Amino acid sequence: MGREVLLRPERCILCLACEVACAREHGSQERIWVIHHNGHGAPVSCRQCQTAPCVAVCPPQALEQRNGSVVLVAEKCTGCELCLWACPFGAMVLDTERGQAYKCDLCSSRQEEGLEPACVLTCPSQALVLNCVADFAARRRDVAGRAWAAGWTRRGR
Amino acid sequence: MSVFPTVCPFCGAGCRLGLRVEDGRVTGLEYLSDHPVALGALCSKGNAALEVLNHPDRLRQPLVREGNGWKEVGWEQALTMLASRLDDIRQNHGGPALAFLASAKATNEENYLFQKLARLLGSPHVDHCARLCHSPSVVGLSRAFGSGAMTNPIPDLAHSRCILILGSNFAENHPVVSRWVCEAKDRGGVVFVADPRRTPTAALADRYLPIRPGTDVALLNGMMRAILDEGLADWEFIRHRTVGFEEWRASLQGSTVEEHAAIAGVSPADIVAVARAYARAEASAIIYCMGVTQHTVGTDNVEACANLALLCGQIGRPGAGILPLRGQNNVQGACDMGALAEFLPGYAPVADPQARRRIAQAWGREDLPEGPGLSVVEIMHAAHEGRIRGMVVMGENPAVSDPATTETVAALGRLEFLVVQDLFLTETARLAHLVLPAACWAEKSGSYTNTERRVQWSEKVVDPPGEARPDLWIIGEMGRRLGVWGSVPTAGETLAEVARVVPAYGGITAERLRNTPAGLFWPCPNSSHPGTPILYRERFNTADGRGRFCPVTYQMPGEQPGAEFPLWMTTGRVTVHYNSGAMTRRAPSLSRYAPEVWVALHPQDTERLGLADGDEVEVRTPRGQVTARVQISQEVQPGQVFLPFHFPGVNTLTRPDLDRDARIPAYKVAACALEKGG
Repeated sequence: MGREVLLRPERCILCLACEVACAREHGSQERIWVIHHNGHGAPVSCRQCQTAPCVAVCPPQALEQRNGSVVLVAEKCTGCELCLWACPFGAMVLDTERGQAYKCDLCSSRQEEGLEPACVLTCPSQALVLNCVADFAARRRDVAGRAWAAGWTRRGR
Repeated sequence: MSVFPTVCPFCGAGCRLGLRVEDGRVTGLEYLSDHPVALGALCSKGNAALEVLNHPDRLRQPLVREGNGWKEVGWEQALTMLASRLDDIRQNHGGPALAFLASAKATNEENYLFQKLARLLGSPHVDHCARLCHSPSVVGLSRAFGSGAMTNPIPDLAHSRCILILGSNFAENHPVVSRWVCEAKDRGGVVFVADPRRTPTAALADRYLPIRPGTDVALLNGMMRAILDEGLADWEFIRHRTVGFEEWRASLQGSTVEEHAAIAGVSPADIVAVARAYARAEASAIIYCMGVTQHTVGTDNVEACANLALLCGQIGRPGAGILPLRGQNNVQGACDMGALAEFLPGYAPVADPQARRRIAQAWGREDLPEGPGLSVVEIMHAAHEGRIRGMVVMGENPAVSDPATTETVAALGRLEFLVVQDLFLTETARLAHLVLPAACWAEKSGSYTNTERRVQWSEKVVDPPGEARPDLWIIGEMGRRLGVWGSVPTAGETLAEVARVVPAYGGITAERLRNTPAGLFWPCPNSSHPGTPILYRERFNTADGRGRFCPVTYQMPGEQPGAEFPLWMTTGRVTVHYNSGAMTRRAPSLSRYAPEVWVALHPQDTERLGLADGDEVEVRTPRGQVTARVQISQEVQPGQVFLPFHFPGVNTLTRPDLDRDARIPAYKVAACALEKGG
């Protein structure tokens, strides 16, 4: 399994760094949006679904599963907007000038230079991480287990 | 195409900001993961830095006021005019008729040279915006510990088992601090936030205390009362490392946790829970910021924090300390360099003749102007009364940042001569007789000291636009033309002089900093000293080496809601903007989120006042009024409103009442009235 953009929601501080970074890297067209409600929130971007509704629905097959992520081949896109309907996360949006859809591309042009996605690198609280889900879950287990064990063994003063 | 590291020009976290340069122009930004605090991260502001750097509004040529407009002139004409006008005032009215506002954004070298110029010209009136934010930290922590700075580095928070956050909204204003607080939480640490406003920082808390505005002393004294009642004080520490305990304990005699809790507006159970956790944890840290300092009792609030740390021995160890988060990228450095009315470089007190003469001799003089000089708000007062006739403002925007700014603007308008050096034609620059175009962070080399006392070097990456020049050159030329010194020094030469004059910087040179990307923590007294990340491990910086308890009792804020002004008003910051907004209001990728001023109200208040989200209202205090749009918010308490001060006019509402010791204005507490209609 490849590395994806994953989130530790308890660390999101609504700082908007990911949005601003993504917009800068993509000509002011960010593909990540910080949604907040009552002091808490989370950045929402393409989940790179393994069985992606957008891939299933795309009439010109401009969307394809590739190496664990969902890639939009812009040249094939007709701007029919069915993928916008299909995505349950609202992670697909339309460039009205070009008449084509766009979404998180895991900073593909940065990847060509061997660089990681901007949102992950910029996140001040490290809420967004680039990792494979297995390792991500293993780290969560490690943190949880240690905290429980520390609590049981802690002595007060 | 290459990537060059610089120190981010925004806040005191001092993150590394990589700049991509092509053909002498900055074309992109890169994340450099080897920075010890940020690990490559940048907040929303850092991410927008290029929009400031390359902005079309950047000043490119000196400007002389001509009627209602400006005339572009060359440097020769500008500097000749500058020297002659300042010299005129000095000859006819004396050095003290001149005032100098240094810049918390400029380098250490620039600030050092600037305050040196002021004093060698015979003026004691040099100050800067630290007065408006952390002067109580400088004064209060100096009294308690012998030094006014943050005691532990930011990453050290990961070692804290209990973190008490008072009046700090670092989630918005020092975002990278959040990572380390979250690390502490992942390791089982507990986090408390006390703030009248339920900020994004409060969302990180295990327990959030919505204290009433201005009641920090009650909260802290309540905690210390509980700690004494339950025998949780660190008696060993108190006995061996402190002085003044008995007198301090007597000041709390007879009070109860319930009494303190009632003032603070939180439950006694909450106070006791936080107190127990703080006292018992293996290592506890206090993070505080403007909510603690910006009061007429700001120094008291800081001393109460220090008392708590001393009472529980939670200082001088990994994870245990007091962390006042300094705001500007170089406000710590500007203070270290003595750009303060009561301090010379290295915090040598101006009022101490011996200390003053030591510095004077280093500068080839017998003595320097006596002091303390006037502080920021007092300078404006004096300008209004005609006692200050000429002013040099470097990289500051008092026309937006000062409290009761109507008076500041009037005062600046009364000056015979005002010169402003800045990146943009700010609201303050517009009032000047002469505006000088300055280079920004990427266009000059120098050292900056972040909030951790970490001194970092930032190398020049590109040339400034047009005729803009580094402040170091501008100040150097001023001094040369006024006969103060013979030539303009380089940054390296200036830092070398700083090392001779400021013991804590004794081992810090440009060469060493260039070779130490992680920076050096002062005190770094000599070239083989590795620097001092954690302060007070063995002794405090006081004469007897002991920490000092300072008795502090609660005092009510000087302005409270009443019949005519029935609401509490507080001002503060939001994440996409920075201070006076001179930079961020010009960055489209930031200002799109917050293009204009608003006033946040609780739904109970909007319902009672018949207001809808987006309605235009007049916010009025005894000092002025401002039009703002209503924002219904769960962040504020009923009866309290909040305005972001990043927009001109908001500070016409705030109070110029000053803390007795630190002379900081009471920004955080005022009474206001709200009326519908713009």
